[in-house]
Formats: sequence, C-alpha cells, structure tokens
Amino acid sequence: MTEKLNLRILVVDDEKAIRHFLRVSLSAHGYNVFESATGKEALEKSVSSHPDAIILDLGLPDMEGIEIVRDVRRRSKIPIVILSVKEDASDKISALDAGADDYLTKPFSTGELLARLRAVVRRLLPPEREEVFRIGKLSVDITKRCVTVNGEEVNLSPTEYDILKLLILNPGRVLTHTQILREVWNKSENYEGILHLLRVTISNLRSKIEPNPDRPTYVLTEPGIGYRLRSED
Amino acid sequence: MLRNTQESMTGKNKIYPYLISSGLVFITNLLGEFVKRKIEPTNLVMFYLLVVVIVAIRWGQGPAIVASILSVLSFDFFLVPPYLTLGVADLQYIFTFVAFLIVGVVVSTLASKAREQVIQHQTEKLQTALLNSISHDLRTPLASITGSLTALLDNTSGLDDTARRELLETAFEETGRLNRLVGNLLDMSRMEAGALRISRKLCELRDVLGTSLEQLKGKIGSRNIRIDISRDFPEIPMDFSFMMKVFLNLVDNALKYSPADTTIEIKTAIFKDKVKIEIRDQGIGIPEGELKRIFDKFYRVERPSRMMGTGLGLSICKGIIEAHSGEIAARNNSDKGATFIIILPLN
Repeated sequence: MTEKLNLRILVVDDEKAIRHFLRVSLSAHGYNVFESATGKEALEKSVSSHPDAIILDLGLPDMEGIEIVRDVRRRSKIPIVILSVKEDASDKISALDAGADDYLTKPFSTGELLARLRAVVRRLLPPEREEVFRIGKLSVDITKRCVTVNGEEVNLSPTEYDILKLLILNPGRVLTHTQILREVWNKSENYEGILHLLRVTISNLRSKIEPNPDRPTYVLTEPGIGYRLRSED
Repeated sequence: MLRNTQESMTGKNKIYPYLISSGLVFITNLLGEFVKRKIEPTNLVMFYLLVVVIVAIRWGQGPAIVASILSVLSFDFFLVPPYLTLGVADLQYIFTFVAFLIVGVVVSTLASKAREQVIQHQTEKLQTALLNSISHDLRTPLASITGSLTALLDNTSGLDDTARRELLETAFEETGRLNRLVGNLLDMSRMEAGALRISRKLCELRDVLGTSLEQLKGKIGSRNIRIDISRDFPEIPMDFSFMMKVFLNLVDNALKYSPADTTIEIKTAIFKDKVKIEIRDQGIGIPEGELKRIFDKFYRVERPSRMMGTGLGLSICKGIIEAHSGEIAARNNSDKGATFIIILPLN
C-alpha cells in the first residue's frame, strides 16, 4: 500500500483549520505532512521539503495558486491536487491545463482526498511488471493493444483506443478537453467540430466498455472540464 | 446605507431640514419674546430643548445640533439681559449655555438613534420572514452537528461504538445538507442579482443525465431508473453543470417522494426546434392547486417533517431552465405520481 511508503505531502492552504485536519488525517494514514500558509512559503517548501505530492488551495492570500502550479511544473512532475471552494470551472481548467493532476472542491471528505492522493502518487511507484490495466470487468493490455470486457475482446476504433489508453496512462488525473484533443487529434478546442467528435467518440467508447452506458462508471465526465478514469473499485 | 436611502426619500433637499430647524428656533424666539417678562429665562430654555428634541426625532442629528447652537445664540441674544446683544450680564448664564449645548447634543444623538432604529425596523421587517426561514434552515443542521459532536467529545457519556458511529454519521449527513443549502442560497442570490453565468455549449443529454445519476448513486441504490433517449437525439446547447443541478434536484425529489419499489422514468421527445425531457415518478403527486406554486421561492408543500428541503430547489431549477430560454412545469399523472416537464430550445 502507498500509505506505508512514508510519502511526503506538502499541504498549502491559508486556513489553519483545513491544514490541521489534513495533517491529522494524512499523518494517521502514514503520510509525512509539511504545511505552508502562503504561496511564498509554498514555493520554498516545494523545494526544501522534497514533497512527493502537493495539496494546493487555489485561493491563497499572497499569490494566485496557478502561479505555484506553473512554478512547480517548470522544475518537476510532483503530483499536484488542487483544492478550491469555487464552483467556477474555469479556475480548475486553467490549473489543470497548467499541469495540476486533479482537483477537489471544498468541502470534501477525507476518504475522497485519500483516494485521489493514492491515485496520483501511484505514478511514483515503479511500474508494475504486469502491464494490464483492470477495473471492474474491463481489462486493457497496453502492450498487446487488447481490450476485453467480461473476458470477451472488444473492438475499439483507433481514436476510441487512444483516448482509453491516454486515460489509463494518466492514473488519477483529470484530463481537460484541451489535453485530450492535443494528445489524440493534435488539434485545439477551436478546431471546428472537434469537440463534437470528442463527445461522440467518448459516447461510443462508453457504449462498448461500460456495463450501463447510460450511467457510466469507468469513463467519468468532469462537467465543463474533461474526463477521468475511475481509479478505484 | 439605510439612512441615506431614507434621507433621499424624505428630504428632496438636504438643506430643507436645516431651514425648518432654524424656523422652529425662530418661532420659539417669538414665543420667548411674549413670555420673557413672566417666566425665568432659564425656564425658557425648556422650549428650545423641546425644539431640539422634535428636530432630532424628525430629521436626525445634524439639524438637531444646528438647532442647539442656534437656540443658545438666540437665547443669549433675545432672552438674556442685556437683550439684543450676545453679551451676558450674569455669568451664571454661561453655565446655562454650556449645559444646554451638552443636553442638546446628547438628546439629539439619542433621538436620532431612536429614529434610525425605527427606520431600520421598518426595512428589516420586510426581510425578517426570509431571514427567519433561512436561519432556521441553517441552524437545524448545525444543531444536529453540534449535538452529535459534543456528545462525542463528552468523555463521561460512555457511548458504545455503534452509538459513536451513528453520531458521526449524523454529523456528516448534516454537513452535506448544510453545504447544499449554502449552494442553493448562493445560486438563488446570483439568480436574483442577474449574475447567473450560464455558458451554453453543445452537450449530450445522455452524458449530463448519466453524470447526475452517478452523483446520486448513494441515494439511488437499487432503485429502478429507466432512461429513454433515442439514438438520434440531438446535442443540446446547455450549461453542463447547471443542467446537472436541475436533474439532481428533480431526480432527488422523485426519489424522495415515491416508494422504493417504483420506477422513475426519464423520457425524451424531439420537436422541430426544441426537445422535451420528462421525469416521471409514481409517488404521492402534488396537490392540484400547488402545481405552479412549487416553483416559487421558499414554497414548500406541506409534507411530513422528515422530508427536509430548502424550498429553493425547484425555484432554482426554474431559474436555470429560464436562463436557457426553456420552460419547466409539473403535472400529476393520470394514474399515480407526478411528472416534471422540461422544454429546451435547440438553438
């Protein structure tokens, strides 16, 4: 389990109560917690405390949270989970596009945070020998390019497969529309009809792999932002 | 701010109260002239004080202080020997002046405060019902949370593990309720301020519904929900997140007000330039006379008290649908339960 690895987590939030409950609950799960209340301190500690992951509140008193995301991304690939109270999608999109991995909207439950954290730090672990991704009744063998549901092989179109593979290779990450379009089609959101194509492809992918395509449980929509793959059972 | 509004309502001109105050002092001077030989000058001070009090109650502190100063000057000029000069024959009058000024200022301050309170009371009366309702709704979950947590903190209570667990679950459920309420109030106030930022982009209804149902999966459990969307159903220009709020509200209501063994149906139809979405339950239905009023703010159909809601959900749905240039209505089914109907334009 990742909890036993003594991973170092930097918690950046100006609210003392939030830092406190995060420290208590993360420490209880074996994480080593470092705190900072300001953006300036966060930038220093993101180097000095050698964190394995950063939990970052977007609304800091002294600087924009997104500046911290950009600064950290210039130097490293440390997973970053964003905390925000704003329901506005655009802040989250710009943070994700700048390289944040995932986001949580306050208030959130500790269980949810731990699950997201486990998913993003999984990337830090040495790659599993077995290169087969499994979730529910779906399994995807990336090396053999083979997708099965309930043990039966499913035929995916090249773009359907590319999207699924992209989601699998980015465990725990929310992928924005922009990121998926760039990776799969090498196009920007402004390209005429491309978003429609993305929606149709996702819809077709779901109807092939989801147990109930009307209520998807593997490929999840992040409203107004993008998509993520369910990371845990 | 309240005072400013009030002032702009009562006095078209800000100088007006000052002029009247001066006039009143002048009239008192005339009165003083008639009686000054019969009454001790210091007793005449009472007339002036009366004027100051009236001015303070009617027009507030500023004019009252001006009235106080004018009163002292007039009193000195007309009623204190030597008359018609500001000179003072007897030094004891100086004490009268000072005392008058102090009393004048204090009285005018008190009176204008009382006046402000009256104004504030009137304005607030309009909002009291609303605030009462909101604060009651906010306090109810807070009371459960405080109660549960203090019980848990109490070392002497000897709660067993089951009881502790139950208390924690209660506190957690209630925070969810509190959060939904705050969200609803926020949406409502944005709507009222015309600040609801709807960004309409083409969306698949199937995805919006599916994502909503996934969020409600805890409440849905094993309930049967039948979704009927034809393969050729067009993409609709809508705000994904806001439309999710609509479906979360409507499906949640359908779940709440219908028995667990009944099916909830979501049906769709396509017209030339619009689409229809129906959410149909087999529950207790809605009293005929209230089919329209349920969309009103804070309106709640009389229900058993366990059916807690904010009375805002449906009015928010209506606001969101109208922001999409659509329509929403409710009707009772011919057999059982209610159907909510949403019409959305395709362009």
